[in-house]
Amino acid sequence: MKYVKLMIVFLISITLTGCVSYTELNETAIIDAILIDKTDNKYIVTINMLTPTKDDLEEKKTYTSTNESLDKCLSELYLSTTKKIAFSHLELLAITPNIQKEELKEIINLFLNRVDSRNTFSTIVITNQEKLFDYDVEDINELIDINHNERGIVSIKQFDSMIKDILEMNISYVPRIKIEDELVIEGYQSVYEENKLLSIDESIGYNFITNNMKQGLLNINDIGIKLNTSNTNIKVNKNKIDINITSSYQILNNNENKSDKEINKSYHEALEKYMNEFIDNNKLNYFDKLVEKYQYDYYKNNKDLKLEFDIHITSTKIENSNIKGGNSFE
Amino acid sequence: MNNDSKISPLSICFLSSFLYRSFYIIGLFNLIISISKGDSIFSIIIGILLGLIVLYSYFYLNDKLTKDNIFIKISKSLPKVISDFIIATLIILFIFICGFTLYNLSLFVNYNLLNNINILPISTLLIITVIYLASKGINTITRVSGILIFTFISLVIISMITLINYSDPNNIYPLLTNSFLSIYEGSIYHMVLSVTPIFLLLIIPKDRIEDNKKYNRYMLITYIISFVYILINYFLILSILGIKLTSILNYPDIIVLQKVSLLNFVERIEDLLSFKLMFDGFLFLALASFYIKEGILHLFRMKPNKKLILVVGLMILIVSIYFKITNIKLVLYLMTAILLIHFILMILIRKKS
Repeated sequence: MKYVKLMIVFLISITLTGCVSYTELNETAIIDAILIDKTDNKYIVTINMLTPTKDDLEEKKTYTSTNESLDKCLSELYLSTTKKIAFSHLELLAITPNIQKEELKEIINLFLNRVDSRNTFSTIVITNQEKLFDYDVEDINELIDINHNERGIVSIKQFDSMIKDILEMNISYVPRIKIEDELVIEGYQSVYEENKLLSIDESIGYNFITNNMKQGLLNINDIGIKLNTSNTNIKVNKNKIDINITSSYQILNNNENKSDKEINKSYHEALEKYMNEFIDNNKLNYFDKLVEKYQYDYYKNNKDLKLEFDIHITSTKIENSNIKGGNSFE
Repeated sequence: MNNDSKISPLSICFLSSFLYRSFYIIGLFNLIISISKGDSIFSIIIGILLGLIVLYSYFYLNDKLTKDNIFIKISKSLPKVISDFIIATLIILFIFICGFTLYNLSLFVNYNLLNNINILPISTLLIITVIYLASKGINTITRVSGILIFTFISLVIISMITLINYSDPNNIYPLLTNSFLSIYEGSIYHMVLSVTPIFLLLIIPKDRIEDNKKYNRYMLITYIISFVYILINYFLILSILGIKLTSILNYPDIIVLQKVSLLNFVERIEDLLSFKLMFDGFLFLALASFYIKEGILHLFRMKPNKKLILVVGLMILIVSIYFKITNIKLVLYLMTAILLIHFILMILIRKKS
């Protein structure tokens, strides 16, 4: 009986360890960035493959495939890399402005159906994409993050968050980057139902509206203002949208020696301008969603919503000396 | 270990807390979301309240003939032919439900922890562990649940501390947009699939439980705590992903766990955290295997036989691999049959007494 048990243990150890369909690590293509473009009805997929080298560094190689479908592109890439493509370490998905609604649907389905995709990677729209892979993926993500914290133009858009926006609003706003001599942030690009680049003011306005404004350096009528805190509270009453912004700011330079009252007025006008720029020039799916969420009965009976906006701004000026660790420019 | 030794009421309560979540990850959550959509939270709350009826019937059956397990109770209360028929039905129903649980648990492991591996090796390894645990008897099963509850609580704390930052309560709106019928339907499904597995605990005669006077009170407290956790978890998932994204995902729990990061440098720990989701199905399988084994012993008037649990495991494995049941609605009907059998049993025992 003892030998029978030993035999069973031996058989289990060699038959049930999953060694039948294994993939060696060096036969796996670890991808950290993927670029998807479409021209002449053909997808152009470029991947950035990482290969660990003996001296603990990562060697990077890019491979490109052109085909009618994304699946065929990936199959081709499998042949050209001779490795099984793994999305588990994907950090960046870059799409070009050529990617429209139908293509985006295909991309979303591709990643949702991939078991190895974590869907928490950041998504960007890129123009002049030829030199994208000259930059580190981490640098691109860091650039967006720093921009969010310092200028407040765009913030990182994770892939699952983009899907959520598309499912709920039919539209999502993704950071758009241009490559010239260096990486330049252009603003948000709307994707799915509408494909357009938002201006810098519209992008800042969108961040204010969605309470996604952390800090920002604003240049208002030659006065340097640093936004310290901002909190947006939106109240919905039928088709009336009340946007209340409570913020605090700090004056960095005031060369024309304007009074506090004047600066405060200019600051309020600037914030209102940012938001009105967004409201006047873009589809208002975000607000439609809010009406649907909080005034469902009204939304159900009034499909053609004519929204009315009321913007209130409350602000506090912070003296430079009151800011912990803040630099004084006076 | 003495098979007749007393069992701590606390460890049974721990075990029950896992049983309530047996089907959550393998279909119940998605089923409720697909039926009640944004109003699932009301379905769950109503389901929890309705579940008290099921819990009461468990208490009632547990408090009668306290020396005997459920099979002896059935035999003593009903004529032989009917009692044998009911016991056989219960055994068959639980074998099919275990087959479903094993198959879907294997799919879950394959989807989240492995990548395109054949299901058979996963199911085999799982069932071997289950059989080993079940062969050690009810004392060991309850003690293992006692150990697993602490592991479970620590994993829950780690995930919740991080996830609370991603939570946006606005995502759960709009509420009350679906018909009352769909909310009610969801609540019935929730009651049947989350509370009915508690009847497996009837395999433990009440007299074997230490200090059993306070047992019902402990069980009620565990019931409340377990469902408060389920509600918090549900709220967390929905407030992070929103209802529309949640409804298209196979395992929304895992997608949420992917966001967990400790101190911004311990990341990608969803594989470790997802173990908390497997404990429920694993302990359900262990207890159900033990239940089926005891049922077969009683039905065929057999003497205790160590090899019988192997046969039970093999039957579950065959059902799992051969039928490949993935439709939770089928399990819902099987569970409803089990629930009705216990309700009828309660009425018959009450009449007799």
